[in-house]
Amino acid sequence: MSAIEDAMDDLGQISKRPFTHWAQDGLPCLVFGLNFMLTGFVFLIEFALPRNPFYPFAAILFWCAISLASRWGLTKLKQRIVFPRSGYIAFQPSGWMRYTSVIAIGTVLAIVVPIVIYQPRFHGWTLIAGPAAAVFFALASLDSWFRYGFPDGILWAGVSLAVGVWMFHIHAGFIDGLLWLLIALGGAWVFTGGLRLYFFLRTDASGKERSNA
Amino acid sequence: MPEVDRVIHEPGRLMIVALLSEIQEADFTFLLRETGLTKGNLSSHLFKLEAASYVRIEKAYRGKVPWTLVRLTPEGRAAFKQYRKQVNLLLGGKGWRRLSGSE
Repeated sequence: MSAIEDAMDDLGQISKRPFTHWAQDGLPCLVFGLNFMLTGFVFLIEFALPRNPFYPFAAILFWCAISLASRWGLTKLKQRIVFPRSGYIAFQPSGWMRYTSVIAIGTVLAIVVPIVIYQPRFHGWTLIAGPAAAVFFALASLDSWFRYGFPDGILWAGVSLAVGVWMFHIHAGFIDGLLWLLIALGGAWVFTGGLRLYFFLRTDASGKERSNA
Repeated sequence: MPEVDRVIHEPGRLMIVALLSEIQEADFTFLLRETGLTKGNLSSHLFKLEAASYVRIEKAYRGKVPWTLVRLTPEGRAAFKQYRKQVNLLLGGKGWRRLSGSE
């Protein structure tokens, strides 16, 4: 059976290949894993410091800055390392509706969740909310494995569940638990991303710019 | 029985269109790698798709290296959507599986 006949078996899978292609070099995981880890550490430090109205503001500003820097850095690294080796793709730009809805949902969650969680009558929930978030991240990781065939998702799911169990065991608070989850998941992303990048660079060791067509 | 679009129905071109269907644009290297076609074969399929106005091909330079960018046109997207519908009808709504064996 030729490669094409093989591929004809399921064209739906072919349509998903650009997404697999985007992640195969490990750079997105590496960059966003670092972003998660930095964000987690910065907010943990902010919570550990004596109360000062400037600190939360600085932490949020730092988070915005590293998020923008991650996006910019990923684009630059892709252009320099990946596109000449394995080809360039650009995804459909997200519409303003998507951006607006993501920002709106994020804002509502950021306001509502802490208010609800820290109500005295919901005190018991704070002990469950962290592990529940860990289970949610584990399921999302497994989804990436099933949907796009990334075996990395198994490790991410394992790390999420382990942190969830640890949070439940030590009765970690919701925010603290979430930050540690972010750091652990970020570490797992950096690890799998680094491995993928190493093998990607070894496989395409020539790194030659291909003259195309 | 509905008549399928012969331009898209050819396996190589079908693969190219399917790869481009979920993205804005891709370059020749990406298509070469993902389809497993030879350079000549891929070029020939792209020219046929371009002649049918299903893809737009742009030639540019990245540094001193020629760079070929390919994107699906709205006509190409509509044709692919229509093709999927027709094939689903032919396969009794069972999706894509074993398309080549069903001919």
